[in-house]
Amino acid sequence: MNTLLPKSAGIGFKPKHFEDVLSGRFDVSWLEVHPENYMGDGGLPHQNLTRIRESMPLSMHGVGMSLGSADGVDQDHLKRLTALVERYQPTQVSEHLAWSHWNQTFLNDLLPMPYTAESLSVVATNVNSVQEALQRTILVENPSLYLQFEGNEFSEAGFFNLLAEQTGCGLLFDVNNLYVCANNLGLNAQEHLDELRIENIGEVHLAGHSVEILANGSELLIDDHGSSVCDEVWWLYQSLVRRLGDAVPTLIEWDTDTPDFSIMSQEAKKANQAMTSALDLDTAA
Amino acid sequence: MSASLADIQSAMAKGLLHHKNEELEGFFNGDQEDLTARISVYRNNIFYSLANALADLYPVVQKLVGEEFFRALANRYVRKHPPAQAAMVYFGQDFPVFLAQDKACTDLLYLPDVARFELARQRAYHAADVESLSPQAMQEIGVERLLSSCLSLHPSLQILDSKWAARSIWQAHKTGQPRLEDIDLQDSQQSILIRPAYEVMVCAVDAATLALISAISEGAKLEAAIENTLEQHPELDVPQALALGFGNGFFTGIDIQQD
Repeated sequence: MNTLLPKSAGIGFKPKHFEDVLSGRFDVSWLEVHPENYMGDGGLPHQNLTRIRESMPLSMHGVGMSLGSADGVDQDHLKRLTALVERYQPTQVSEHLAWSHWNQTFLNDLLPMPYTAESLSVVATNVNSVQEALQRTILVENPSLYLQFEGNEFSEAGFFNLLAEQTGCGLLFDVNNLYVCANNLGLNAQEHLDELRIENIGEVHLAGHSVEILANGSELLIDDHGSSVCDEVWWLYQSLVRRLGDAVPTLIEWDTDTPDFSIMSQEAKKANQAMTSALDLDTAA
Repeated sequence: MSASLADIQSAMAKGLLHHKNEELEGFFNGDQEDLTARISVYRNNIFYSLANALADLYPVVQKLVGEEFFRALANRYVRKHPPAQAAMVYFGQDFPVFLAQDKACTDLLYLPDVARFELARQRAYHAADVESLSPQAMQEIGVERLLSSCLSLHPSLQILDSKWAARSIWQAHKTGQPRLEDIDLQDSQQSILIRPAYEVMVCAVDAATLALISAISEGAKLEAAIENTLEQHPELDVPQALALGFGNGFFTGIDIQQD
């Protein structure tokens, strides 16, 4: 497994939790930040990140590299990320399988792309330029999707398997995203896990979603990271851990209406317990 | 699939930003009603998150016009000036100019200057960390050498000249002082914003001091900067202006010029 972070639960960092994180009152084994929030030249954000980095392992999880852009990665953005990685030496760097920019316009959302040979070649080229600039391999996260392209040439699992093979990148496996896709696009989650080369997984994400009822009465799950992890996702997570046969770095994400740090910390504890019990069950069986 | 990835991304970028679903529906599986709803999720994410980013940068502008009006402004702004960079610290820099030109804001003449004030605060907040010269440095170098020097300004320093009471309007919303009803909107205000450590400081200055700091920022030797300023502002109090500057960390370096 492509794992560098502690094989336990970490927490997505919010500036409002800064004092709690460093207070020592909570058991936090690692934190994840979005590097885009630290692309200013100086000031308090950097001061705080420096103190966090001094006290625990850090993961940088990008949301803006647009690995799926047919016109390539933005070199200015890559330079800024490279500077941050050199300065803070994060334990792990990750990004998304998505695109956000086209022709100098950045759309600030993780937009979907078809699973075709052309897409694979574009993403592989972009992942390679990022890895070359950073002088390290990165993890790439599976998307949450609301739309299904016509003419996909690969399954999502097949696409990720080939991407890892061609670039050496690892997989950041978001269990909630898989659950959202299964519901929104009719993907079979267990078949997906059967096909996916799970040994490429270096980190797992867990988050909450909301349910929107569309005008035609059908249900659409929205990956809003605005609530606790639902039972079905915990169940899928345990099923993944059993398949892995080992503990895995697991991040609790809560980006909308983020609660007090004590709640975040409880979710992290729950993830550690879910991991332990999934592995115990495995041993007992 | 016949469309290339570049075709798809070009059509999606246009279709999502400018509310044209017909340009992108052909790429996806599903009936039209269903696709319209699903495409809206992405579009809403884009506009909602960017309006939030703009509201984070311009909270006082949002308070002045109300949230609903601000959201509508933000949507127009995003279509006209979408971000070019993923880092949101670069987004929204054209908003003051946009406000000055937006037809719905023509009655709110002071609004662009309040936005400039908030933008200056954001720039000061994220500027590079450089240590300032202390007031002792001014004493040590002596007046004569200081006059023949070029002073470099702190990277966080922002100069704001407003025909309106932009600073007071901002302070009224942030601190409750002065009260909004007590502000004379047409009170022309000059301010210098600086972040020597981690907090942005707001200095109220007179027009003469503002002119002097502007002249220094353009690279003039202090003596020349003072002379130029005095032509327009004979009331300039040089010792007071320099004491204010050194006292608040405006200067980071002294480059003594050889004549």
